[in-house]
Amino acid sequence: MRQTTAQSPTPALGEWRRRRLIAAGFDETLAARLTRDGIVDLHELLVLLDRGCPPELAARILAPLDTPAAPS
Amino acid sequence: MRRPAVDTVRPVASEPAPRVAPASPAGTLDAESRRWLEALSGTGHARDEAIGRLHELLLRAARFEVSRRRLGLPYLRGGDHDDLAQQSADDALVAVLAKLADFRGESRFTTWVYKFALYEAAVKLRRRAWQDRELPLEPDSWPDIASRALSPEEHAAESELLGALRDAINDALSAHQREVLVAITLNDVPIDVLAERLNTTRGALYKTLHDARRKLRARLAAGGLDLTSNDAGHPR
Amino acid sequence: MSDARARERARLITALLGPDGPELTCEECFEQLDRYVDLALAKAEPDRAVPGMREHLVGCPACRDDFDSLLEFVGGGGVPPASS
Repeated sequence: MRQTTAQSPTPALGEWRRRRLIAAGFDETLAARLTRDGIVDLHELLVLLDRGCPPELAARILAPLDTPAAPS
Repeated sequence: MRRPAVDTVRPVASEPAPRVAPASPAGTLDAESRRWLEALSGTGHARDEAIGRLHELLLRAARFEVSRRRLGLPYLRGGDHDDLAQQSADDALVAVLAKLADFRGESRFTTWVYKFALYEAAVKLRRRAWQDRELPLEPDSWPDIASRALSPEEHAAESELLGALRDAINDALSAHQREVLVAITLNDVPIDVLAERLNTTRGALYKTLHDARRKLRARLAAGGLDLTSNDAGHPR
Repeated sequence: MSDARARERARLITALLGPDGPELTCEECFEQLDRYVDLALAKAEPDRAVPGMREHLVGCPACRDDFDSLLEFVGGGGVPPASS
C-alpha cells in the first residue's frame, strides 16, 4: 500500500482541502497554509478537532517540526 | 526512485489481534517461485531479464484490472487505458523489488506479485473515476428498503431499526466519524479516494470507520435492538 | 419479506455496522491477501489460516474489491481478457 508522500496538490485538490478545513472551523489563512504543500494529514487534523482540540493547536501538533509556526 | 508502496498503518488496537497460522517453513517454496527469487536476487543480464519478465506479468495483471473497470470509465480512450496499465505495472515493479526479501513463500510468487499490480491499477482507476467529482459527505437520502411487500409487523420493525440507526449516526458519532461512515458506506465513495482527498492512508480511515461502527453497535445494543440477522456479503 | 429486500437490508446493515468479531486491518489484509487467495483456490481452509480476513473483507469494500480481482485473475489463470 502506498505511503503518504508529500507532493503539492493539484489546484482542484488543494481547493477542496482548503474548503474542507474552513468548513471544519479553520480560518482561511491557516487553511491555506496547511493545504499548500500537501504535507499535513487532514484526517488526523479532523480527528483532533473531533476530540475538542482547537484548530490552531491541531495545526501546531501536526505541522512538521521544520515548518515555522503560523503567526498568531 | 519512488518510495516503495508501504502503508504504515496502525493496527486496530481495540480488538484482540486474530492469530494468523504460522508461515510455511523455510525451504518449502515451489519450484517456480524459487526460480523467480533466484533470478531476481542475482546480478547482471540474468537479473535484468527476470525483471523484464516480471514487468510483463505485472502489466498483464494491470491490463486485466483496467479492462475489468472499463465500464466505469467511459470517457477514457484506449490509449489512456494502456497508459494507466503501464503506470500501474511500473509502480508495482518498484514495490515488488523493494519488498522481495519479505516474500515468504506462503503463496505462489506470481499470486504475490499480481496483488501489487492489481492494487496499483485499482487505486489509480478509482481515483481517476472520482477526480472531477464532489465527494458526498452527507447522506442525500436514506436508502428506501421498506416495501409494500412487507407485512405491517415487518414494516414496523424495519422502520424502528432504520430510525435507530439514523439517530445513532446523528447522535453517537463525532462529526468526522459521521462523514467517513456516510461517505464510504452510504455514498459509495472508495476509501482510497477519500484517503487521497484527505492526504491520509486507507488504514487510518478504516480505523475511524471501525470506531464509528463500534459506537453504533453499542448504541443499538443499549437500545435493545436485535443485530443478529445482519450477516451478509461473504467473500466467496 | 422478499429475498431481495432481505438481502438489501442485510447489506445496508452490514455496511453501517461492519462485521461481527475481530478483523484484520487494511495493511494486514494486503499482506495476507495472496496467501488467502491461493488457499481459497486450493479449497484449503483459508479462514482457518488467516482468521479475521473474511471479516475484514465483509467490512471494507476496497479490500473486498482487491480480493475479488485477485481471485478472479489468478483463478482464471492470470490471463487478461482478449480485448485488453
